[in-house]
Amino acid sequence: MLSTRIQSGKTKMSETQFSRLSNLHAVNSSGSKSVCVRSAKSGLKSTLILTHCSYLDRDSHRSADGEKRTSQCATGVFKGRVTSVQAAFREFGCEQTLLSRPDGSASFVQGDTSVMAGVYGPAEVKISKEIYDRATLEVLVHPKVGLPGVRERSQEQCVRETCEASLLLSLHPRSSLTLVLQVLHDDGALLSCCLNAACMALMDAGLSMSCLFCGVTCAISADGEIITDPTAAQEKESRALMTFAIDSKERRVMMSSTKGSFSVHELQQCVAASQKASEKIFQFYRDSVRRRYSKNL
Amino acid sequence: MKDTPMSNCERDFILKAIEEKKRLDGRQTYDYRKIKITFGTDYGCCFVDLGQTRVMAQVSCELVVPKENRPNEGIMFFNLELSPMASPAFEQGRQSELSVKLNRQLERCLRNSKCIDTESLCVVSGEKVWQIRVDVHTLNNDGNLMDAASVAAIGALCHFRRPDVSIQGEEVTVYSPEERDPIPLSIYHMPISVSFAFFQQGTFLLVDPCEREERVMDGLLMIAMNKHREICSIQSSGGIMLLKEQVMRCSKIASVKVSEITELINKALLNDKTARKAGGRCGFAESMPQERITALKTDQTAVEMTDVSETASSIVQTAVAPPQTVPSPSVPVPGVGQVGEGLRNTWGLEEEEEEEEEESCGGDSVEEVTKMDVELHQEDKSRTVDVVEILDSDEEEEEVVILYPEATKKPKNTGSSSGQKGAGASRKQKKK
Repeated sequence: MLSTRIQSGKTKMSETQFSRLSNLHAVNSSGSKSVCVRSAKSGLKSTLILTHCSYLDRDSHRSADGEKRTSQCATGVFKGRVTSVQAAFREFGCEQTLLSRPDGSASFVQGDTSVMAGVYGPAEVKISKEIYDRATLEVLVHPKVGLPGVRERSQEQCVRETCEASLLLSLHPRSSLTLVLQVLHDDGALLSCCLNAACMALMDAGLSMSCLFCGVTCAISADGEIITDPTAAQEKESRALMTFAIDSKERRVMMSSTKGSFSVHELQQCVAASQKASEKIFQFYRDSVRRRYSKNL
Repeated sequence: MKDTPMSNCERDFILKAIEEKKRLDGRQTYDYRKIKITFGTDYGCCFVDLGQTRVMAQVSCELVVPKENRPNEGIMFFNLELSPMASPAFEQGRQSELSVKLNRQLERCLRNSKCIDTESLCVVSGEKVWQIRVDVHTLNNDGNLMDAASVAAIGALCHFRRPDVSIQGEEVTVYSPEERDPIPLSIYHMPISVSFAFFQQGTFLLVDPCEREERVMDGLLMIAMNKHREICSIQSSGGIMLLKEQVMRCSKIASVKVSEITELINKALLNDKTARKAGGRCGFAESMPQERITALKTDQTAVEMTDVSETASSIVQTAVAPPQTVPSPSVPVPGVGQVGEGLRNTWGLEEEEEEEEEESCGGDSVEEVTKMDVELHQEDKSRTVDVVEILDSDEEEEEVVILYPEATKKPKNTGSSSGQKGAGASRKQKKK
């Protein structure tokens, strides 16, 4: 069983690359390990951090109910029950340009979870943060109660790396972009809601992007069922939780953040489910933009 | 990020307009902007829109040990965050002058006016009391943040419900909302702040200044008052001299505004209560305007997921399998475990090694090399005298190593890895 926390930034990965990496890790892992990937095409570096490999057995997997099933992780021959996928989105909504001060703003609602985003920029940058060939992107996540902590910092990083991958930052050298996310209510799938709100706000600000992105959260429940867009209660009962950022062009994985333990096969299933689900969100993006630029309601 | 500077033309224009009793947004001198109060999904969450100014307040509670000098009083904590979302001038994590001023005024308005019964928040005297925390987040700054913040804070406090607690002997039980209905706070009165901006050294007065007006004002007077016309706090800033009559007039205006706003809060609370009782959906998601062109909402949607597991298994199957053999870990020194040949400088070694391989028919196994190293060290110890002589040029050294393996008996620098390899190669040949 893999128990991982994976973050990838700046490079988009196809499924096979993703799979190869997770397989590579499955064989090599003997504790914590980080694998650096240098993509030849883009020349950008992305890091995959695979940690906490608490239990890994290549020949036998013990499933949740104790039933022992044999499978070869590396070759991918799985003899086990097929996990069911419960794929549905809670109702979601979005409003753009709702704040007067920021250059772009949006609020995104998924069920009861809602996040508000504001974008400032491109604007003047502090000299200490200046990058000579591209814009500096700063992402801030404000929790509802209290001050931002480690959780918020990690969410900021996930969102920032996704935005950096899609934004054409080199169009605005020596300038700053600030993206502020305010959590309005958390009822599960918060990170994916943050990503969606961020994308809508960036669109509203009129910043050039190479592709759009959306966030999809999948939860694997105790009996192996995959639930997309879980509520807080479903998240609590789940065995593993993963959030993927998917790009709009080729439906590739831009960022992944996972919690809990799962098999390589389950990971692939979740990636495939997220890619399917992302179609709905991109359709929603398209509809809302069409509505916005339509002449009548 | 710096705030956009204001041009002199705009400044003069606004001041001239005020002199002519006109305001940028078409309001009269004593007019308030429109106020909208929305409550969130959970208890104690309140959004206030004051024109374009937007503020959110969230109340939370936890059980803490009380202060020593007040053992049977609950603790109130206020925190007003000037989020960078509200204005580019606000910076993250820095206490600006404005933030200190607003926080202090909010505390004086709500805590020092004793509008909340803190004694009812006591659970066990001297041991456990409720701490009520009010977080106010600014979302958009279009002037008069203080009034919006005070309305949001008092609205959130009125809306908030704390968990029920029971005490049996020494045991304190906190009930979840499912077990017992949560309890509202006991609030005596609702202090609401009203701001007045003064221009031209107090000649002109405006109620509820917007952001542009705030930039050109000379002084600001904030009066916090409740609907019983009791002044809870009063603060004048900007260093203008106000006459007694001016303050009296302001307090009269404030009393009218406060009674209007109090009524609005009560109405909003009642509306929310009936909505919750009816069991319908309430909260932020529901309050999203549907008629706006910038807003869109969808219903619950199912996603077609027929071939997900097939794609997943096909990807896993087609993925390139990594090599099954893993280099066995070696233990070079006690306390160190190592897999592979990391941490060693291999610069300029490749050519040499290749040539060696040709000569010595494959001496590349890890174990052999390490063995050689050990032997070499022993050799070096035995020949300490010769170490003094060191060959001058690298070319010569190379020649010596490759062509005349016997020459390695000549001294080498002990640390040089090329020397070690050379020695290893020569030894192997000797064995043959």
